[in-house]
Amino acid sequence: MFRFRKEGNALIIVLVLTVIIVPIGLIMMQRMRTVNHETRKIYNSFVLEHTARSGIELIINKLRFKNFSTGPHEASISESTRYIAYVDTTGIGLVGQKICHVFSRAESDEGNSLLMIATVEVYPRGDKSLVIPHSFYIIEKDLFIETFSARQAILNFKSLQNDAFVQQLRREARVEVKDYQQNLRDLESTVPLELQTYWSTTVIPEIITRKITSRN
Amino acid sequence: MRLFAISHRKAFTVVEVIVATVIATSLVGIIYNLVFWSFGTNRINEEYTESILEARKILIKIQKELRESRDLIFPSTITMNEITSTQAIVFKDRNGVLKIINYDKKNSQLKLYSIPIDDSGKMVISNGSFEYDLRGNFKHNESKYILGNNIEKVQFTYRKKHPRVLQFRIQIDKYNLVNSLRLLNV
Repeated sequence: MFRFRKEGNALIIVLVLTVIIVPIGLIMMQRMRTVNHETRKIYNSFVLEHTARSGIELIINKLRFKNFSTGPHEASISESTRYIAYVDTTGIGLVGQKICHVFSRAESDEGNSLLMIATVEVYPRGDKSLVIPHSFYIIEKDLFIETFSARQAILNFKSLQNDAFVQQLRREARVEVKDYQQNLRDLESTVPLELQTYWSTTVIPEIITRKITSRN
Repeated sequence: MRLFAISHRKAFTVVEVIVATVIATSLVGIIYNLVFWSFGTNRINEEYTESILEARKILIKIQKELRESRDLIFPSTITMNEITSTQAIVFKDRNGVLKIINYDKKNSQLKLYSIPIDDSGKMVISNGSFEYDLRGNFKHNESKYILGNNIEKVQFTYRKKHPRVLQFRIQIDKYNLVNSLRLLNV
């Protein structure tokens, strides 16, 4: 045992200090590792969400060009993350409207996965489609979307949305271009100050051009 | 009287004291640095996490709004291949409501304004959003007025070339976060 002597105690002092200091250091390192781990976890979930969203965006873009291919659509977003996406076109919609459910599962090399389900409304518009997504679900469980029943999973469909949309188009179409332009000019003083310089030079001409050349 | 008598009692030697002092000082120095560095790293990590989470929330809000867009009006998509705005974005949503997402530099806030059109064709600007509820009622939602606080920078970049993507970047407490959205009906 260590006995305090009047000389040669330097070693004992160092040992005592070490015994106190080392655990403190270890506790701190542990805390830092926990914080780092949490940060990485949050970041990874963000990457996965972004990956799954990319899958959905891709499918939606395909739907826009009237490509209703069910999939699987697969792609790698980075070296370690990829998505696999399917489309279920059997959703029940109103007349002139198609409801599609898009499933996109993001996976990473670390074994994490995330499933995102989107419900979109598809309206035919010339050689393309007008696509309006109205719900996104994120499920952080590892589900096999290949066997997922779309109809049972999501029927959160807002049936009145279609009617509201058509009503709005009619309402806009009734307003004369001249009146519309004047209304927009009258708004100039009320829009945010930073935007006022662009309002009459850029924003109004853009809106009016669209009203004249296209559907609204 | 013996002023300078040499004591023969046993005690610490000068060498022992010096060695112990040097070791103790070094250890205290190392520990101080370790503590300082550890707290510093923790603080940075916490700041980063908080900022990124906050930025993410804001980006999701912007994304939600833009998903409903029917026409992107400002920055102009007609003239150039790549357009950037560090101030505002103006678009028309699926319900025909003109919407403005504007960066208020003075208050470091990102704000949403809506300009609906009524049956008589009248247009009035309001803070927040106008949207249809589940029963088909058109309602003013002022809770969406402030999309985010403590924002230092905002940037919207629109790329007209394929893939048609609107990229939005925000900076909170010197940390940047970028998100993007494929414009569906523009």
